[in-house]
Amino acid sequence: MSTMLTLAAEFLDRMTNPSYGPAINEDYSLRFAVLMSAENSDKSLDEEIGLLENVNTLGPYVWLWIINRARSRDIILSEDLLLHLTGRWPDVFIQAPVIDLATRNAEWSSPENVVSIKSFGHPWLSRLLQQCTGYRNDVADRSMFTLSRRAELSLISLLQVGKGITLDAASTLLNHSWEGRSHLVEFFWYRWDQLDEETQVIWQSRLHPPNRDAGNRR
Amino acid sequence: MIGARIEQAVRNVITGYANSLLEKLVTKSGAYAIKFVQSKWADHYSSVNPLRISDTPALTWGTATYVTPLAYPLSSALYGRIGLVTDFDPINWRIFDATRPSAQSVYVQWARSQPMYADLLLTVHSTDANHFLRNQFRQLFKIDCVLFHPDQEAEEYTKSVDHVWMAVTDWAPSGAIQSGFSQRLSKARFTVLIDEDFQLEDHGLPIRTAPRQIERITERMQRNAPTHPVQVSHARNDPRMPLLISQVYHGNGYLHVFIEP
Repeated sequence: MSTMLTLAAEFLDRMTNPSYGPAINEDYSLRFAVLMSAENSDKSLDEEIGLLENVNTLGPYVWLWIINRARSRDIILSEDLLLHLTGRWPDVFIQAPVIDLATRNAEWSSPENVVSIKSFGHPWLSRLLQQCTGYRNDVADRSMFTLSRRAELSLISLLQVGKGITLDAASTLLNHSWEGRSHLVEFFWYRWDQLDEETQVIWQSRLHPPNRDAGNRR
Repeated sequence: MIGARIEQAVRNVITGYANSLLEKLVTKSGAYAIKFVQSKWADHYSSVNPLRISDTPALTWGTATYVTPLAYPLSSALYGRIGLVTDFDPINWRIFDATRPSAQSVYVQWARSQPMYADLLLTVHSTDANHFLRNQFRQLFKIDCVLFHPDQEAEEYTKSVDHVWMAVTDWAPSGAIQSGFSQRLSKARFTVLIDEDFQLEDHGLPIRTAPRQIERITERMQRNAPTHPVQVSHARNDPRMPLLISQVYHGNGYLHVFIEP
């Protein structure tokens, strides 16, 4: 990791991690903003952020801050890094902004037919879909629940971002044949049940989900 | 991806500045906002500087600059002794007035229709999920300013039912919500000094109503044993101070050493 970010890592954590409390977060944020007001500081930081590669060097809240900074300042982050972030912290509140960032400049027209996750037209999203439905050596528990959990989080994140391209990716994921499919489909319909009727119709017509029968009761 | 009825309901409650509660407050007290900060920032803001955009997840309406219209000048004294005042230009702002129950209701409807809604209720990450949703809502509907009633109070300074605070959005060129320093509230200067101090937390929880820590005591003491305040520049050099303080001590009073204007 770069020198500036190495030095700043703990500072950034106090600035962003809610466990320190709002008062500490706010205080460090203001101190950081004042430090960054020096000439070229922002530019240097943005350049160093663009060089980041290893997800394990910073905590999740610092990453979230970096993702938001990259979104607002058009900083380009490594595609591998973004994918690893979704694997390391698949929670929706992290994964959704990462997906939003990874697809921010995508030009997209929806495919006419359902495609496989491998041939999905956006390479990064294709990798995400393969990652969240793929076999994991690091998971000892091979139950269907564990298998489908990552796909569920990715599905919700794709839906939450709500762009045409991410909705198409969500539809592709729902229709993909894999060992966790029935649980994912069942999960989808549970979430669908919680919606108002009008939004239910939109979800169904936009996502073309498999029938409920494709999911098995847990 | 929400029903048209919910989307339209949200759009119906978003108003231009001219038809907003903010316009009434500005007409009454001017296009000025005030924000209280800790004493250590007095020097930085002794000259004009921009306010910082808050991006702490725990804040009420997401990443924004949190200020109070000058119509409620001491309402946010909870957060520090130093009152920073800045002007602003709200003419083209889109306002979401969350002081109105109808606006609160449509936000809740919108949130309930979101794919991640269950994460607010079923996971340990509800604060973060809320933060994400609030930002997405404001970005999606291009809301420049949310008006809301205070959800934290300083005793006697804040009236949560009547007072109105603002969360002001700065936009990045990409249309994302900006962080860093605010360009919309950029001329802040140390303008008010408050003689009180509040606790922000109650055993680790953000405080709901913070009692006055000084005034409640001094009121009582002053009633029982009135004493005159002393300017700090006099107090520092006055050889009679030890005697004065010992007299006040034996009289069960207190001596207010104040910073003169």
